Amino acid sequence: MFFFITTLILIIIGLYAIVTKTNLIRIIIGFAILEYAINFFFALVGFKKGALAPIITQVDGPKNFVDPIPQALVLTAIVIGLATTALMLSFAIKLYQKHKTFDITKIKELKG
Amino acid sequence: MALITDLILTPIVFGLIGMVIKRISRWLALISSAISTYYSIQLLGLLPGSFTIRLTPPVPIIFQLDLLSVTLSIATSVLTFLVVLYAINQKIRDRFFVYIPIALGISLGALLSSDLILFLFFWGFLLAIVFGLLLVGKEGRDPSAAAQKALFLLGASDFAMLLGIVLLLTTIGIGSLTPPFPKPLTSPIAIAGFILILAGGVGKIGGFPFHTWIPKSADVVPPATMAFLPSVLDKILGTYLLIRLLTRIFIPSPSIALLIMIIGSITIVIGVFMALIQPNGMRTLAYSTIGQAGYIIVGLGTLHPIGIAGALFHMFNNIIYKTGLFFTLGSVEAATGRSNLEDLGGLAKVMPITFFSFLISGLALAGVPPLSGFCSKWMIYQAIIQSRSHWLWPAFLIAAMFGSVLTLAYILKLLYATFLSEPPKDLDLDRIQEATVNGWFPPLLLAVGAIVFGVFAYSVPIARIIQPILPTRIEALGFWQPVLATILLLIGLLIGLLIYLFGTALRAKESKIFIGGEEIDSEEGRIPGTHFYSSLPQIYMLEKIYTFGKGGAFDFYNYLVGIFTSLGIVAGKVIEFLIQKFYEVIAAIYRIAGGVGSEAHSGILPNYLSWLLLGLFFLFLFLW
Amino acid sequence: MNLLPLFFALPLAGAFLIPILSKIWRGFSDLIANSITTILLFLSFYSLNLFEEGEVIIYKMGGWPPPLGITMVYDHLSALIVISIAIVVFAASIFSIRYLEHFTGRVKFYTLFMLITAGMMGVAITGDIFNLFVFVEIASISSYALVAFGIEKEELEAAFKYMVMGEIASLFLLFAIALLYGRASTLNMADLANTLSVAGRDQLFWFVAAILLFSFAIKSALFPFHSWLPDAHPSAPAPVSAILSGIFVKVLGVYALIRLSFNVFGLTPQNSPIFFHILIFLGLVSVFFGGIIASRQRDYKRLLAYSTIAQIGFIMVGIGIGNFWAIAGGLFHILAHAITKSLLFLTSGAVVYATGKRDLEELAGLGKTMGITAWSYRLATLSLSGLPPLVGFFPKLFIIIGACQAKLYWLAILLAILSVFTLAYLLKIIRKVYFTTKEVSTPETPFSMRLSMLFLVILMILFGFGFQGLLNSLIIPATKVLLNGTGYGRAILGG
Repeated sequence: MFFFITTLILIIIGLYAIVTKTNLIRIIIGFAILEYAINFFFALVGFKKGALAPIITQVDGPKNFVDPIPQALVLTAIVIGLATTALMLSFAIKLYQKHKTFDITKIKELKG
Repeated sequence: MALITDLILTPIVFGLIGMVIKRISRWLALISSAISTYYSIQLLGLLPGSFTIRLTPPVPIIFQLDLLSVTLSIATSVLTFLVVLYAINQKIRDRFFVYIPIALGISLGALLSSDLILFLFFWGFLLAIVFGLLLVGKEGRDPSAAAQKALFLLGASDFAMLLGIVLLLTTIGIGSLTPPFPKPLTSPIAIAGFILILAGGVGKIGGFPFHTWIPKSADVVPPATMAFLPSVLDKILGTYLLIRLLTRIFIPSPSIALLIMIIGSITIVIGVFMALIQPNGMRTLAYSTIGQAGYIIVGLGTLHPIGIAGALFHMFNNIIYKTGLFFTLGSVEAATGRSNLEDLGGLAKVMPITFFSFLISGLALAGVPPLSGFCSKWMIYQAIIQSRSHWLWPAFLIAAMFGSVLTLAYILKLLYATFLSEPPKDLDLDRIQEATVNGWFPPLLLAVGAIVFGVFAYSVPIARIIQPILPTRIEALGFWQPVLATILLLIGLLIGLLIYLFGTALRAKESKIFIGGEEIDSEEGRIPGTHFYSSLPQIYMLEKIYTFGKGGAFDFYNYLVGIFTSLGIVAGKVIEFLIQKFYEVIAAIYRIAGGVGSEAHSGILPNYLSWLLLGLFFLFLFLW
Repeated sequence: MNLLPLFFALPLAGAFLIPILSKIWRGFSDLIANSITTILLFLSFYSLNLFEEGEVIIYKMGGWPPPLGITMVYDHLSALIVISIAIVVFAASIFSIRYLEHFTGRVKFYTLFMLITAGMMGVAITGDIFNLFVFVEIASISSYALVAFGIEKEELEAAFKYMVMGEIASLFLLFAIALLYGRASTLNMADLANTLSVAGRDQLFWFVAAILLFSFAIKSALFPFHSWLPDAHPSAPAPVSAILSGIFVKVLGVYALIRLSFNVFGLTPQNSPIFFHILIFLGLVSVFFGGIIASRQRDYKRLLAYSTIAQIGFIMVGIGIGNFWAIAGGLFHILAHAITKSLLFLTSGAVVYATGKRDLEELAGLGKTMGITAWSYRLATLSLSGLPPLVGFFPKLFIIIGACQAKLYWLAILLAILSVFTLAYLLKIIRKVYFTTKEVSTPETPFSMRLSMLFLVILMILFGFGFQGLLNSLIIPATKVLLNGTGYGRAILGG
């Protein structure tokens, strides 16, 4: 239960950073926190207390495994997260070159 | 069956061919309307009948013929033919001749279809074509604003009708324009559906409050478009829908009748009074079209057999003389290049045939016996008196009668200003020529039609056309004997002519005008037709009657006309003003809400994100 | 042979081949992209012949049976979406050939184009919820990059804001998937449907439903969640705007939402009225605000983007009413709006190509010289505002019929009024851009652009006149798939 509450707090921290921070880089860091929190949560879903790593070494081995699927899924999610973070950072760099500022509230040419 | 598909598809296909080969589109339009005339007359041989075409297996498309729809189809085809004939050598863009046959085909489809959904399909399709047709402007004029207004108003009335039809389909299960028995209007849903469809019909016919696009279009589209759209197509289709609705689909209650008659009376008042003060012939006729639509609506609203017959008869009369009027004023415009009444005058000498046609059609419109407008209005008055459905009936009668009197007033104004008054200096009468054959023949034919429909009102239109369409017998119509009256009138005219030819005492003497010993310029002494009623909108009633009486323009009724004109103009202006304000208020709400919404999109990301979180909060609140 | 994998494998292969083969000859990028979209168009229509109403085609990836491996599921609802995607993508790719003369990086454009296609196709046919997430991400990330494709100030700003909001939606989708997995220990949507219908509804069920609704509401730009759309859609190159507005929001937002809520969660208006009331409410607010803000816009494409918000609102209202005709109307509107709105955006592309301007105040009198473009715009306007012979009429008719059947008469009246307003704001462009008597000398757009616009115009008219056939072969079966609810799970697992 402790871990679940931890992930929930992490999610809220991530959202807080995204919504309230005005610096592009801090927003991206907020995303990283949010993403890791959710990945952490996903990995926890398959966790069983006292279970073994899901590596089958013999046919009639012990049945007490951790669920391996979330781990595989989290790996995929991390890869996707890498792509989004990289793309977002490249946007941030380009935005800085064009606007000479990292403040997202000052970048507001599209409105109405 | 094949005949029906041919009838509907031929003009559409000809129009589409014309769209590709623009050069021959004029002739294609003429030929296709002639062919539809022929086909629609052939339909008479199939009566009464219903025909089913199966397109894709589950959907039968049902057409039903009865005398009403076939007669109206013939009328539409013939009038379209005349419009095309009239317009064929005028300076109108080719697109006009592409849309006209397509519109004809679609309206024939709407008139003949039995299924409500099919009807709706044609009806909506027509809206698109009407929009396209209104976009074809006069040379050098931009019709887009008017066309948009038309699209918006007609679209609104069409949507109302769509909604009404869906209501009827889903709740009561009425799916046909020609059900075997009419249903009583009892349940609130049926009443709602009825009123929504009524809005569709009133919008089409050009009644209050959907009428404002007609005058707006009047001086930006060619006269042929005005002759075709508001005065032929919309009148026929609107009347058709209202007759079906009131007699075949439902048995309306007296309160509904009251509503319809109020709408009709308001329409008459607006149309007539606004027509009186227009400085432009086309706009006058446009308002006149609205006013005459009011008569049709009132006649239908009486729910009395004579009223319905009168409304139908008035519709026929109206398309005959109103089309003629648009044609003649169009010819004047084409010959002189001017449309403002102030810049015209004295054309009777150089355009005699056009003048004659205008005179006859105009007097018919004003309801001067024995011409055609008189008899139908007479029937409508009788129906109002006989039905006496509500204590308000004298008000409707007064609205209708004074509408008629004032119609004469504005027709005389048009007649005087265009054909009889002294021409302005810069109008060189010698260089103006009578219209070409196809320019003067259609209005002349229509004028003859107006005479025939008036003089032989009982024996030709009522006995041959109106009576067979309606299920109930039309009872005696008081003691109006058109043939006898005509003979008396002719004798009177003959005596007058003899006096004119042989008498010398009555001959007027022309002399120059002097003021203070100086001969004044004839231009200053000239009274252009627009000044007839120009004082009306501005000055107080009493003052106006005084000047008016002094002017002595119409000694025999100028006091009454004066009083009611001013009252009516005030009423008309107030109603126009209220409609205008209504639209403006809606537009203002629209603008303000849009402004607030637009301002809220400030481009600041944290604001946007806070909306997201707020939304998330409410989702949790309601769902979790 | 099972054709299903081709729908996403072909564009994925294209995305892989285009950058490599273009090193040999630059023309390969156009050639490959356009031939793949053409093949997809034929495949999508051909696929309708392969199965009857009520049947499903299942493709098992790697041969694993359904609950274990990833499955691809193709029923009539998927077919409807796939056909819509294929039509829009085909038109957009033809249009791109000449339009890209404005841009550098044609190869990169087509690579991203193929990726976004693959992502959308995958979303439409996947039967696995994590796979859904992966395809959503493929499509989303390529759309962020495409929005920023011009790399000017405005494009970057729009792309960043879009990406922030889009990623919040994606991460919440992942969160919801994790919760679902923790609950049911399965990722297969069919298996999930069975498990959830057995397990009953507790707090966690509704928590997940709320998060999913939040996520898909952002993706489909319903009103308070819409603020990225008017920035992002106009900033992309015109063919991409056509894809984003025409079909992207509907696949990632509307389709995913209805597939999960009807078929997996088994929600119906009877058993969960609040959920459907929320949909109606969000839809109505979107229609209203989308419409009125649209009529204030000065930018050609931004106006159209707000109009998209309004039209998605119509779809949502139809889904939210939840009876047969309303859902059929909503689904039909997905197809109708896909054709119409992508056509509108393509005309904006043609105008930008010819004049280089998007501001309505600066444009004038193009109706004379750009005849095809002007007529396409006019017809699309009439279709979108619901004029009978064109395709846009029927969806709105069906939604209104549905509202009447559900006894929501006020809603029916409101919808009819609001759809007249559609006309009001779309006419603004006709008035400003195409219809002034001012003489200008802009050349007509190149042949390929006109071809792609004509293709959509023809479809618009064809589907309008042949609506009955379309209704019977596609819309009604798709509606039945949704109304079948969790029967979806039994149909696939054969239980």
